[in-house]
Amino acid sequence: MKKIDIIYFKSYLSFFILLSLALVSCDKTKIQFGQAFVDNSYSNIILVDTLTTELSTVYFDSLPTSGSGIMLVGNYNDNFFGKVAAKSFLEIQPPVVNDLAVNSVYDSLVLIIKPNKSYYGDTSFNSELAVYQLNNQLTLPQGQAYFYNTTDFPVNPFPLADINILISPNNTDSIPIRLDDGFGQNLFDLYKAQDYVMQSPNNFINFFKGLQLSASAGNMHAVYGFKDSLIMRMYYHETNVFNESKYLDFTFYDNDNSQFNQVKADRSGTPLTAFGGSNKEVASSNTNNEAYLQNLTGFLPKVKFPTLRGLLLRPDFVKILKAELIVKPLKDSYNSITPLPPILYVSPTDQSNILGTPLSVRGSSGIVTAQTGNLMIDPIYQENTEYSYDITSYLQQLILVSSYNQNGLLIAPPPSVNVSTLNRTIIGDQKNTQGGLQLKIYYVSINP
Amino acid sequence: MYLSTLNIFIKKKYIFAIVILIFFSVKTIAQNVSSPYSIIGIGDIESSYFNRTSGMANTGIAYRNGQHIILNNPASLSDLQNQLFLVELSSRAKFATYSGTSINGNLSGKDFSVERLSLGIRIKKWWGSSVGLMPFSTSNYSFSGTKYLQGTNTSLPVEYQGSGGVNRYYFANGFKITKNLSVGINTSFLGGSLTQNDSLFSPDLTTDLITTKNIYIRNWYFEYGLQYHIPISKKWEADFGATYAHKTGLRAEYSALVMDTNGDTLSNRVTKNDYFTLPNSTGFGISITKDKKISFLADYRFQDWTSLNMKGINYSLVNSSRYSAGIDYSRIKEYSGVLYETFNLQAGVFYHKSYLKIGNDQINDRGFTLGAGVNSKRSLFGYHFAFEYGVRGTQTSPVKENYTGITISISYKDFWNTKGKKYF
Repeated sequence: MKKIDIIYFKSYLSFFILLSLALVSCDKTKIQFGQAFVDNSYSNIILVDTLTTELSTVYFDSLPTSGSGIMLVGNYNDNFFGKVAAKSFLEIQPPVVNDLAVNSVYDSLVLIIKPNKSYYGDTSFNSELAVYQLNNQLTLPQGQAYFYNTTDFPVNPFPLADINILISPNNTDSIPIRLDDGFGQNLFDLYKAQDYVMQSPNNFINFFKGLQLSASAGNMHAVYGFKDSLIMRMYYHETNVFNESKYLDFTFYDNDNSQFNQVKADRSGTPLTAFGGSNKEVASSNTNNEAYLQNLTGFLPKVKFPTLRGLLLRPDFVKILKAELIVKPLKDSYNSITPLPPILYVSPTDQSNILGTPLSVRGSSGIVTAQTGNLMIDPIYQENTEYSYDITSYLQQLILVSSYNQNGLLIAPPPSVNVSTLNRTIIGDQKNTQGGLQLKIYYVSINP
Repeated sequence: MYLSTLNIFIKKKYIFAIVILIFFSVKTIAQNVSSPYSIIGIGDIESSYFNRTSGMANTGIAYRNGQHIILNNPASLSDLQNQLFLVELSSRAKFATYSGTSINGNLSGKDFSVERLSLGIRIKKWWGSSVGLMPFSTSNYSFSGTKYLQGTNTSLPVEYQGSGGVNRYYFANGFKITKNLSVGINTSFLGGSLTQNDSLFSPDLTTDLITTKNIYIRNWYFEYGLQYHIPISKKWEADFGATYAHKTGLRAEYSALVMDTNGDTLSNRVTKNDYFTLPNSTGFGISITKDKKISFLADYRFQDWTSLNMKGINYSLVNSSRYSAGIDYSRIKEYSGVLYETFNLQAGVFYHKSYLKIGNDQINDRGFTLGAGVNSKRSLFGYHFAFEYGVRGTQTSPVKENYTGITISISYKDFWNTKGKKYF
């Protein structure tokens, strides 16, 4: 090829490239024409909200309540859950032994308890709190790591204190309870004498055992939560020209999960009499189309999806794109006295009803956290109050399980609070008109 | 005979490699001018030949020119100049503005693409031949619509994108039967795919649904032509031409791929096998030339779509007619005893009642063209430029498209089977 040809060819080539660069834009001009000519029916997203969910309540005989950090004390008569009584058991350790002045004189012994602002019931009534000394040491049985909500320890029938007091959980910082003076004097003498029992927490517990905080059964208005960091303060004074007031603090002994709350319920006259014995799981159809959640008294709702695999029979079904579970607390079943749990997890389970890892969500920052239910409260009509969950990936896996199963989701408070609060909720099943479960499944449909 | 050509190919291999490379690269990236009507059928069927007749509104059923590959009628290939081998590459830049009943305001688009690559040689004195590649139809559109989330009253936005087209890989031959009569046959393989992509956006569902529908089209397609030359007087001569293509069913394999935002395939399968039928097509042309300088040409092309009874919702394919006329002025010089064209000027008009009827509106296309060509004195290259202005649809059509096209063709001529003798 002649040189001149190459020059021409090169110029033509560069012209092409320049022109194409100048004219090629990435986007086609969008012209709103053509919708009528599109076959829209091949692929679709379809919402199915008619699949049956099966709701039941699972009952747990007992659950560990040791070391929750919270002391629950009080009684409440709940229309749904019966007469709930909470007592707290704990150990106390003595102050470090020091020489007391010879002229030291005992004044008083006061138990100072601090509300943690949680409550269950009507706090506008007075409560009658009692402090008992335990008869036995809080010793875990061989091979057991926790005490349970059903555990009991005998106490000295004569209380160290019994007071009647109005507790405002949000306003009261601490409640002083004056303990028996004979008991206080005895402790003071032992301390002053630097007795063997004051030399170490163990010695002290051998001697003193521990305390039980409870409320008089006659007063059924509320259960209160207290921090476990209580103080038993011994006031004394040194008699000089001027009396000089002093005190010694006996403190909470956080040892071996020994602190626990006993929570018992008398369910006679409530729908929950259906539970107990061998009835560990009762379908909502047998309990007024309701299911119950109060973790600390042993009730958790379970949702099953028995007709999920029916989707596979639809010829157009391809894949679950999104699944949403909406849990609506029963209308008028909650109020400021019996508030809803602010956070509820949903955890996969099977016929064993053991809680699995809660379903999670990936946040915008990429961090995976458990789904909290995003509680929305409709304060006026209570009709739109709901917890909602994205159960897409759960159902995507569940639909693959072909064998008969009892798989489902347990609705439960987070482990961090599940034994420290009596917050409860009652949810309806799909037949309940006062609030119930809704299951929305969006699936990809492709024309068969 | 093509073997000898192959030798030249090898000699000039780098030039061809580059030409073919540009052809495919530019072809694939540059289809950006929306052509809304191309959603129907197998897309816009190309009525341009991207050649020397483009400046005459593609009028050329009776046209013969030994220096160019004229595919308007394969019979014209018998006139290819002896011992010449030709390579032609054509590209088109297009600008369009849109109005019409389905458009608010003014929209416009532009693109550039390589359209045709042809190689032509005269094999025998009575036989000219050409192979190459050019578009048969193209599909190019983009619009947004809505789709109901079934089971709800919620509608979701959908983006539709159409692309692709059917290419024509041809092998055309023209034969001189008598001194004045030539016949030709163009054997084409039509193949390609039309793609429609719709993206259903559902932000609430955290995923989109992307459906890509492909129609793979393929079949052989035959067009026949004849031309008859009548010398009228010493100054005047006339040519008559006719073309015919028989009804042909193109195999169409429909497939659909559905994916989600993560790129996971939800479904991928062939949905049906069908045919898209091209109708009987006929064309007639006349050319009258004075002094081998000025030619007056007229064409009529007809396609019998109505009898195929192809209908869809709100549209039908009906008989199409295309009328065109052109004039060509050629400046000829004699050089070493051989006639040699230095430049040419052209003009043309056309009116095309297209095969597309939307509602009661048969979409028509009309416009004019201008052309100019020049042959380089210092090299073996020739250049041809054609300008086209057209209007498709009317103000009452769903879309009225005013478009401007500039077709640039470059031809490279060389000799083969000669002993080094070059005439120009």
